[in-house]
Amino acid sequence: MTSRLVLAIGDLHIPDRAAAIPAKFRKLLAPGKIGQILCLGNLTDKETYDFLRSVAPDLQIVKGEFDVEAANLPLSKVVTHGSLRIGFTHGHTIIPQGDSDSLLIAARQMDVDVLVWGGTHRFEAYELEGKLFVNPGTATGAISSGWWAEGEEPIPSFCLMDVQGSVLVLYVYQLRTDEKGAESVSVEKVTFRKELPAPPITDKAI
Amino acid sequence: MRSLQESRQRWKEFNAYNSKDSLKDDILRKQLTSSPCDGIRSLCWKLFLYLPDFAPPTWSPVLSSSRDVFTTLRAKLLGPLETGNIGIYDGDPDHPIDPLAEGPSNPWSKLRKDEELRREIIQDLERCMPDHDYFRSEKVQKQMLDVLFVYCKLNADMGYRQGMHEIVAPILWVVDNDAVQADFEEILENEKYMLEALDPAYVEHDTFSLFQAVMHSARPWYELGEDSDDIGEKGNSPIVEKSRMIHEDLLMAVDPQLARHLKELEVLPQVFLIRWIRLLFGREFPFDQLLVLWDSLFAEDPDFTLVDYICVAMLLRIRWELLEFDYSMTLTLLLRYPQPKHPNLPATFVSDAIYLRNHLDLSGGAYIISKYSNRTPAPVPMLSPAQSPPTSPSRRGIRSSDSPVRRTMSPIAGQTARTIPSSSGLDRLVNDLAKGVVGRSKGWGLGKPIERLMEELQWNKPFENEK
Repeated sequence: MTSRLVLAIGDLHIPDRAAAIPAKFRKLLAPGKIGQILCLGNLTDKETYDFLRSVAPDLQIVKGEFDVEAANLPLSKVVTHGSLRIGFTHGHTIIPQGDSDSLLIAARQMDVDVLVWGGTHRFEAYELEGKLFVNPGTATGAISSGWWAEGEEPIPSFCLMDVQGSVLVLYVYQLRTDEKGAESVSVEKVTFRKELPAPPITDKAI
Repeated sequence: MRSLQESRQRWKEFNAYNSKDSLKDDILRKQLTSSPCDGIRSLCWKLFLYLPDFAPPTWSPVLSSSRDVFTTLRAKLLGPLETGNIGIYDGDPDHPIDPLAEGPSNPWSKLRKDEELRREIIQDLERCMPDHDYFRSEKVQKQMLDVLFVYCKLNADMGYRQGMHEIVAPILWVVDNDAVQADFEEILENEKYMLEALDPAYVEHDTFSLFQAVMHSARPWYELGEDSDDIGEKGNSPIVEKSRMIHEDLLMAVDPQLARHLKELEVLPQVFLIRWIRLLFGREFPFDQLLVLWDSLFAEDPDFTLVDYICVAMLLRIRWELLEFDYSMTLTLLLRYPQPKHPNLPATFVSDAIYLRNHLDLSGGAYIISKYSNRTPAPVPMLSPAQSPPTSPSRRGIRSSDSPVRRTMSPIAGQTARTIPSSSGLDRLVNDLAKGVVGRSKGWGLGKPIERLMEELQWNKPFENEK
């Protein structure tokens, strides 16, 4: 029995847009803690791939538009944990990018209870039509070509999922930097239960 | 799982005994043919290892309390892993427990430790008894895993040690195999005792109770010494100390010639004794013969002090080969113990051991040696001080390792040669010739290949002294 924690991580863009995974994240992601990794692509180099492999040998990966060296990666995949089908895709093929209706269509096509996507470099988690949608954001805080408000920058983040039966507990890790430049990791928890009347949409975006 | 019809007959035979001692006597007496435990072994082991009284009406409370204990322990130690409720969702929802945080108080790191322990055990279970299809089943491996896991959590100071799984395996097989499925309408009055003791619903529970009872005595063999690390058997770990005692005290008392010979060869007793003892001889004998050996052992001595003497008895039975072999052949023989042949099945080691326990001296050793080989060891007084002064071990050591040919001319070997019955004389001659060839070929630079060839020849030679 391996660890039951599933890590969702993506949009690292090393070395083109970021130097490395933040040290505080690397420290948390020690080998032996994670059972499976769902990697949403745009790694984009071999060292990062090897690092993720060392975190958990069960590395499931899909292709981002910048993963040019790994041409054979699929665009989406589905894994099953407990009674939940979890689909994941980088999201650059979903148009308009990050649009909730388009994501819902994709989730229905993949027949999944949970859809994990990336590409926007912005953490999001919400329920729609009884399905959970999760975007773990960018693990490195790499800049994105999308629209950003004045002075706003991507916050490094990743997600952990713990599935027991039909319940998924999502842990959201974000690297905060205060005015003095000191970094700290915040952890938030979101619980998703399959086949219960959907509560009002909770947009956890910051 | 057995049918009621099958076990009914066994139970009838079982009822002919009126005490643990009468059953024990019969086991020790009948060990050459069949064990009275066959078919009802699970009950017999329980009787010897943890049921305090022979009378069937007294079993029920002990059985049910031991089963309750396991049910409770299992729910407490394993339940959280199975249900996922390990307290990780408790606490302040605004400040969730971070699954990745380190620290002993974090329920997630406790969970990780438990998962790690289970992984470690599974790794061994996957390779456990590879020839036995029964142990390949997922259900069986899960049962062994849960029993071992609960035991290791209870004995957290020691944790899991390789070898424990090979103690659990035969126990589970016996308990599972002897369980009786019966309809309660067709049973006779006193059969309810048997059916309760062999209830298939409690296979895992009873396996745990038996394993715990065995480990009660076997636990020290798995402990590491105080100043040793986790990597090797260093320092004064109890098992190394025990091996030394078996070699230098027990074997020395009954067969000093063999004890000194092993010492000269520098064969460390723990090299083979750790495996013999920790697995209760599980790797040395075929599975069905092992069970009969355990019958006798559990019946005679549930504290397992007899195990030391069994080791000595096993050494004595191959002592003639051991005396002739060099270091590598000796190790091969000890780690691949010759399969005992009928009627000298492994269970006879227990009666030998009982005899040795009562006669721990030269004549006791000589009796056991001659019993299986019709050869008596050279009487020790023949090693008169003039021929063999107290300092001689080192001198003889140099000689025998230097040149095996010359060893046949040494007073001891000469003495032995004279006592050899004619039947094995030829074989002995071949042996000596072989050694002569090896000795000479070393001079020709052909030592290695010829040595290997000779080793093979001798390895293939049947152990005729066993017959």
